[in-house]
Amino acid sequence: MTASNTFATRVEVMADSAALIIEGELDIAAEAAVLAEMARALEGPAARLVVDVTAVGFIDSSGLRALLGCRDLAQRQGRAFSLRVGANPVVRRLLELAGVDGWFSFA
Amino acid sequence: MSGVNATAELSTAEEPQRLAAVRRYDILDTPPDGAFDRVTSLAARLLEVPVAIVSIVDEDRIWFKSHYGLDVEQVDREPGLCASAVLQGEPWLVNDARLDPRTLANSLVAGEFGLRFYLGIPLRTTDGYGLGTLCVIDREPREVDPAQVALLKDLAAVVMDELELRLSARRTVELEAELRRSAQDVAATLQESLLPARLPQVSGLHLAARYHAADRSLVGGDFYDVIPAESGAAIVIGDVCGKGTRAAALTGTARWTLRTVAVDAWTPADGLRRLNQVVVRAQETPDRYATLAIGSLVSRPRGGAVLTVALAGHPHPLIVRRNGRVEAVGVTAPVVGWEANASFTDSTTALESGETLVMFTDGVLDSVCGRSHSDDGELRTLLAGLAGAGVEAFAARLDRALGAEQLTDDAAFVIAQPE
Repeated sequence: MTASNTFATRVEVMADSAALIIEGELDIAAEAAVLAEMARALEGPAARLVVDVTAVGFIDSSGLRALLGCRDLAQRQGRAFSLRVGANPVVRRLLELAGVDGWFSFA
Repeated sequence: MSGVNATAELSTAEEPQRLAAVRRYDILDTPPDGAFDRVTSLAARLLEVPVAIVSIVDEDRIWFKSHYGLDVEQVDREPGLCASAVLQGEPWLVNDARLDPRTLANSLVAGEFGLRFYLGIPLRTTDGYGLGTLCVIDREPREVDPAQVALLKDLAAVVMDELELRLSARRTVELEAELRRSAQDVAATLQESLLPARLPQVSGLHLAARYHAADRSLVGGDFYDVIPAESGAAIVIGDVCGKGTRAAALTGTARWTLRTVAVDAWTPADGLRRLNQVVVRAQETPDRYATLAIGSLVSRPRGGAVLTVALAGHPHPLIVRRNGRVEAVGVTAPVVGWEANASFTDSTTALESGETLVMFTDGVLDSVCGRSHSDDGELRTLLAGLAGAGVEAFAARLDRALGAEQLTDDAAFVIAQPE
């Protein structure tokens, strides 16, 4: 688990899937750490990767780039990728605003 | 008197360079300093003399950085002792100053102080200039053995190391300040090249635009442009993901690609399509993206304008009608630069004379509606109160809202109003 003042990430590994859970502010300060955690999660055998942003309180363009980057990393390795947003209005709004909600499958 | 020889000794052809070296170390008239005081105290005790001095030879005086056993801070620059020692590379030894023709006339020797013995080691810079000396003094004549001279030389080397250390520390600090200044200059210059120097005059259209940078030393990701057309103008506003030179490069690409596209007949969606292709092709794997809104305003002969808007992942521009209604315009479409097959849509609406188009970046929403906003409600309320006002009144009100916040992100906006 890595943490800063404003965000935290952790990885939960299950039978054939792994979830990267991000909490707090997903911005430029978190971007590199999120991508690094995703790369580590992909070192495992999980066929399905989920990024869970239900507890993200703030997301900006760098945060969106981190999510797109996670998706691309997984797809390049032929793994299934999905985003878990729940009812999080902040993330939903940004995905819709950025016109990229169609680029993700949702868990 | 040894006046003639002595005067000749005071200076050499290299004296201006030597004085420049003294200035470079910036040591004259600095406060007392423990490091140098320890050396003079040590020198006096080891050589068993009453006085030891770290002297710096200035243009017309000899200033003491440290003086052990002597309550004097500087003396006139007279030949015979330190002033002569600095001009040559070897230890300057005077066993009995009253018998030595080099020092007879020096006022420290002839005067009340009654100096008899002097041994000075020049403090030489790495480029060979004598700054001053580490010297030991006695009121009695003395002999010294080579071991004592060697000891004093070692201590003089310690003094010089200390001076070099201070010089390089000061240089480092100055260099950092210089680098910071030039980075800020580059950022400011780059930012200016990415924004129009001033808005063009467009007949039939009132315009105002602002850019608020979150951090002056980094090139921001927000930009805007106004591209004049035959009867009206296209307004571009965007936000490039990230900061710094890579973001600036993408900003430049966006601005100039759209200006190139705008030479021919085009719509905002055409512009975004072309820009998306350019940016996607320029990256091996997707790495950077931009959000943009483009609004093309074509003036109508009897007042007002036809507005065509296309979006790429950008907050919807808002129209403030004269009755205070605030409407979002544009069809949501993906960001530019990530997927080659992204598609963009034009949507068209009429703007009556005195109605206002407000295009802005996410930084404005973060600031007006709070960092965790889920809609643009507060901005709409703020703008509704300005219905019918001029573009500068809109800009001033938004400036005030942005100025009240510590900006964590850049914020930019463009206001347009047809006549």
